Amino acid sequence: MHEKTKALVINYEKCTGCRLCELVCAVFHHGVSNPQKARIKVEKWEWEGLYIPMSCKQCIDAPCMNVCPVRAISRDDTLGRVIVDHDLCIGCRSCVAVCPFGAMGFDPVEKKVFKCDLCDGDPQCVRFCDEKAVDYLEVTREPLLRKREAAEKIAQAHKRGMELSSELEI
Amino acid sequence: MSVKLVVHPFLNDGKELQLEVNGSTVGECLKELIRLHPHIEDKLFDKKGKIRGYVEILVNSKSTYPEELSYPVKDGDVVNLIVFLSGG
Amino acid sequence: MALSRRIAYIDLSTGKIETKPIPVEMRKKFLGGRGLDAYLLYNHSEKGVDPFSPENPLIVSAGLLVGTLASATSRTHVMAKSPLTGLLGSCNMGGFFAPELRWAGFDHLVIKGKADKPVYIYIHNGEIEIRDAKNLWGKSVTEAQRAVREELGDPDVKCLVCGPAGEKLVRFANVMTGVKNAGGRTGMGAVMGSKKLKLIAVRGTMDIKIAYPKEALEFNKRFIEQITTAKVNQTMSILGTPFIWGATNSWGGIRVNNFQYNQLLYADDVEPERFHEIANETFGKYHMAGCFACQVHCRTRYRIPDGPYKGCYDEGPEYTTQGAFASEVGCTSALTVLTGNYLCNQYGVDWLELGSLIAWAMELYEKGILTSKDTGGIDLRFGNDEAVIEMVKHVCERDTYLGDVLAEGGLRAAEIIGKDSIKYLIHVKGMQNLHSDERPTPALALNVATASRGSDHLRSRPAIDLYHLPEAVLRKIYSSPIPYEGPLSSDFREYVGKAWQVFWQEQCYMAVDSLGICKYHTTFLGATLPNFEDWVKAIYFNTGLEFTPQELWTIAERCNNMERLFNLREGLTPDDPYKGDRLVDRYHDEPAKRGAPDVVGSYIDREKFLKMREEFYRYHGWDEKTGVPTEETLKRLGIENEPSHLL
Repeated sequence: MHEKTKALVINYEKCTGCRLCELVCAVFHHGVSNPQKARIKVEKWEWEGLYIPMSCKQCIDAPCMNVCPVRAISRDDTLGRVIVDHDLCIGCRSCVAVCPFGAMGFDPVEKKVFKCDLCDGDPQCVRFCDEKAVDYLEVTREPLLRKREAAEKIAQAHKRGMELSSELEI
Repeated sequence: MSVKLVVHPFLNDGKELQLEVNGSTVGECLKELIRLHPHIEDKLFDKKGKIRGYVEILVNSKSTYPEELSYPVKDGDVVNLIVFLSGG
Repeated sequence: MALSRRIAYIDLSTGKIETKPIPVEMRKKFLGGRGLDAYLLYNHSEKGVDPFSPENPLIVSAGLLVGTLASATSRTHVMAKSPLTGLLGSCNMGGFFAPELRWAGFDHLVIKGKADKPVYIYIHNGEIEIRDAKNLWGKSVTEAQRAVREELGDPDVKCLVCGPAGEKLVRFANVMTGVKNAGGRTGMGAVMGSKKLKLIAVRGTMDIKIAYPKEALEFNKRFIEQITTAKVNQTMSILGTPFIWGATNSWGGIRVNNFQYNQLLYADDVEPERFHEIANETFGKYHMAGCFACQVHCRTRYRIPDGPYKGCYDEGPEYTTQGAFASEVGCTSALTVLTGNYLCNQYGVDWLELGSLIAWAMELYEKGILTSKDTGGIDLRFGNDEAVIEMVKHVCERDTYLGDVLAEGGLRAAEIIGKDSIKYLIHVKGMQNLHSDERPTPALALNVATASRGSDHLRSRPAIDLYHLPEAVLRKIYSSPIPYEGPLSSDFREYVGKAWQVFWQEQCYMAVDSLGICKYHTTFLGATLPNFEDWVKAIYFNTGLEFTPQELWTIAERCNNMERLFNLREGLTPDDPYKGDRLVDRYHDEPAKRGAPDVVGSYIDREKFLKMREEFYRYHGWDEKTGVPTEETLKRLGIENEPSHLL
């Protein structure tokens, strides 16, 4: 992994809850419309209007990788992702149990686990999300973006304060 | 350089307006329109000087969105200012 | 695959449930969604059936492309005989119910009978159960959905629900899903209530196989771009439908005080920008929400900023809420609009109908036809915000004389109130009109007069007629997929050529309602948005079914004729004052008073209107005078032997 390596960056505030990411993910990987088979899922608290997309974080010290008894899960540092070797996978679902984000799926028909593979570098969820609630950015960019977003809120408050003081001629 | 402007009645107190103006971009043409008919400005532009959300500008029947003001025009072009009046 | 979804027949009286595949031949004739619903309604109801009787079938469906890759493939359709109009009852909504229904294995549900105690239907991966709803009955739209998810232990369950208004048989109660996705108009929620069916809960994890996944993905990318790059949808995705209201009001195209005026003055607080501001302040910068797979996201999330419901979460408002709780009732307060919006969503009632009825009652009150004795002491004058909110509750609860009377809908209420109250009721086929003034725009007037479910803008409205588009653009749209060489005019005040536009839009909307795609993704709102040529590609890549644009057009015609047959069977005649394809006298006799110079003084000329209607009938292949499809038309469409009872 190096500084040019990209990662999925989720900004839940921008999510409109439409679930197109789920649809295109399932179609891309399985040729079917079925959110159960998507690697990304928008968790919702509809009565409060909160939508939070959840997906694999491609952890460096990945619990799924560590727990796998047959070493079927490994890191692919070129793309910065954690991948499953289905030839080795015995379908024990230990990885499903330990993932802190629920990002490891299990297909009861194929009897295999599945997870986000970043679509080999062109994540479809990102491609279809016009709002950029899901984005694909160099890993070093995310903290910079977050800083800027947080600072923006302070900047806005500052501007409002200035406007108010000029109105009141303080 | 002469461009034909066709203005939705909504923008001109209920009367369709057709006129010839000069300019090499939509923005320049509209500048001339506003000079000749200043009352249109308010309905066409928002407070920040952007074309309003309910107005779309077509050049030769093709949308200029999102370029809008910077969209180039040439002699003989027809510019339509349409309005998303709709009633539902 | 997308064609493998089944139809279920559910009898709530006997508990009998039967499911069947839907033959491809039926798909080729009626697609799915609204189109196939029209076939099912005509085939599963007897002439003159009482809308509240067990024999009135409630038909719920997902469109043919729901859940697949064609932009907003989210739409649920519901059909039955309407308790409001006695004619076609039909409503269509976005949200997330229809895709879930398909993932659970079904496309169409035909629900008959009546349960002896409140029940709900639970559909899960091919299984259907009728379950006790005693813990859900009486609950609001969102409370009921929350409770059933808890009961079933699954936060991903999606529901189609009738609120307290439906339970109390308010004749214009909605079916709802989520917070505000509403199947409004024609009272389908009351039909649910009459069957003691509180809700339908669905959950599914079954594959919908996409015929050509790679091509469908690429097609969808382009399709979405075509939709979202249109300026009208860019504006829509920031302000939602209220954006239309602002310009239209300043022009003079909004109904005010029960259609006595056509422009709301002092409207600053109910302008679209104001609602945008409130959403920014109460929810945040990113406050727009979308229906399934839609990138336009026109739904605003907000919290009520003040008043007794301060802090309550809700979605909206829409153009029609501004009409219902501002202009029509003569109010100018954002808080009244948002409070009305919230209450209607919770009660599950059609705010368009309700706001208009309250406005009507206000005019009756001001004219002395209703007295304060009738209103229970409420000072029902135009502009009384509190009175409006009080009336919303009384109608939904049916707990006062006037509330109970209005809950019966306009025509029945007029009969009860008597005097000349009917004179002031603004309706077509017993359904209240959208809060826009169609007097300056003959095309829109013809649309509301002839819409199959009563006065309505979502069945055939050529809304782009008001845009003043160049004639060449109109020509391009309206001469495909069927050639048209007649006149077309950019002038919205014209009568010529408009009948064809209305006829054309009618086929357009039927096509997308049967496919399950949102109308904002059609030429409803923008000249460059997708069309028959694009939908046949979407159908092919997703389902493998091959149609030409002309064939798709013919299917739409067939489905529209099925709806026509139903309406004719239930008593529609062109000039019937209650069930006709006609406008109330105010359209013809009272010229518009306010607005732009080209609006003031406008009215619909009776003779020209009738000529336009004849022309419209002719395009349909209906008799010019009686509006009845000719034998030749029925044969051409292959529906000369209906009901055929094939499904």
